Amino acid sequence: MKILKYFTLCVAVIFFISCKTGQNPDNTQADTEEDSIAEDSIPDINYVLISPSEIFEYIFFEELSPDPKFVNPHSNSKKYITTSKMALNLGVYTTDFIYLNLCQDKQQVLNYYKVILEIAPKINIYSGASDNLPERLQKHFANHDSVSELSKQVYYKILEDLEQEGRQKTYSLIAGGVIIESVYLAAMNVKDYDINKALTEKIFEQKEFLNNTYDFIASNKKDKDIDNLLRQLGELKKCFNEIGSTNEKVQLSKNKEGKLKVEGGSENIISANDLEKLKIVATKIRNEIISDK
Amino acid sequence: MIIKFKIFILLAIITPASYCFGQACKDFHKTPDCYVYVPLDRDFKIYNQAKSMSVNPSKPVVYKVILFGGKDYIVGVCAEAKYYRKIRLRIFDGINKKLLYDNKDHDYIESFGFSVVKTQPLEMEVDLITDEKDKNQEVCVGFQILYSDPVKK
Repeated sequence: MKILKYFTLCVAVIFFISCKTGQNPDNTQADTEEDSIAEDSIPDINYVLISPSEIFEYIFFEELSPDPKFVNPHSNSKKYITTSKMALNLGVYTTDFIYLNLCQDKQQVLNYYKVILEIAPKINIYSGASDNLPERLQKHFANHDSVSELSKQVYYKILEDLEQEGRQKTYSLIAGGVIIESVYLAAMNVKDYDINKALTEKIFEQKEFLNNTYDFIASNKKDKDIDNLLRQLGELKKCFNEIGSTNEKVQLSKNKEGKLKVEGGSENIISANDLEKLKIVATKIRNEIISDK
Repeated sequence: MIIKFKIFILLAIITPASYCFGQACKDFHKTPDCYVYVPLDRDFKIYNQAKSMSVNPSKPVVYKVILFGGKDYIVGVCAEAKYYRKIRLRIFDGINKKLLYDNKDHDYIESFGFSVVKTQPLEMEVDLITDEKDKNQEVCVGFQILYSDPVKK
């Protein structure tokens, strides 16, 4: 009898919790409009991160073909024992996988996808193999654009699931691995600053992405691994923030065809020295991440 | 024994229920409530990780985004149709916090297309304009950005 009483109580508690989302739709009929906005309430901040696909599609434009030799060897994947190293390098290998797709090295693309599928379950991530993604990837393997779109789906699915499960630390480590590897791979492809000025400018535009990723990671609960990642990202940030820049007022304007555009903002003033410094710092940090220490 | 059983019953019921509650808005951005109009003659692709989350209407949500220069974008916001009347979208310069766009001036249209000249940090603030009585609700809100190369003339 008592058990039944407690069971009823539990059901009542659950019903009460569930009712929080089940509101009366009629309430929406009231006439209050913008006046009801709580102007002074503290907003929920969301950092919107993007996948390495978007970063590389933006950086590696025109005829420049990225060099596949810079990726983290897939044989290294066996060396990572701790979950934090696995999460960081899942970010690194996801970036490498997308980068190799740009290099048109199909066999390597497949090898790196296998590495992702090997590491992910070890840290309880199963999204990479959901929605028939491996089969769809195999099917569209010859098509560079399809692989790029599917890789984006894999990456966002992983982040979405981690977010839903409240696994902010793993999310942060993967995002950190992605941004560090992206900057490293992009910078290492610039052989001559004078020839690749446009590419270098695009690499330094990643400053804003780096800042956004840093702020996102810093907004989460700290621990030894996160502190270490923030230190590494901080070193990289310093490299980006030390370069000169001009600032123009940001505004939204309409052109002759009536199209709206956001204009203005900062423009970086980059030298060959800045690039060399970035390469040194990015290599140091990236090597720390891919090592098994 | 009875106490253990009580705890077991409580956990067995509360744990999955709480999980479902947290997951309630998962994939909300894929629902028909979240349709983003895309011009038929343009190839717009997904730019960011689409966000579906449960929000309290009394609290604005700010999305910090970085948009690459030289691209066209469409920002789409949505919320559970039965709970809100209008969604306000404001776009601010991410550095100086200057207001660049307010959909209040455009009849609260839920998607906004524009181009970006230089890579730009922006803050997009989403507010649900709703009745005072509804402010203790949790409402599903979706947010998505699409991008495309500009049309070559």
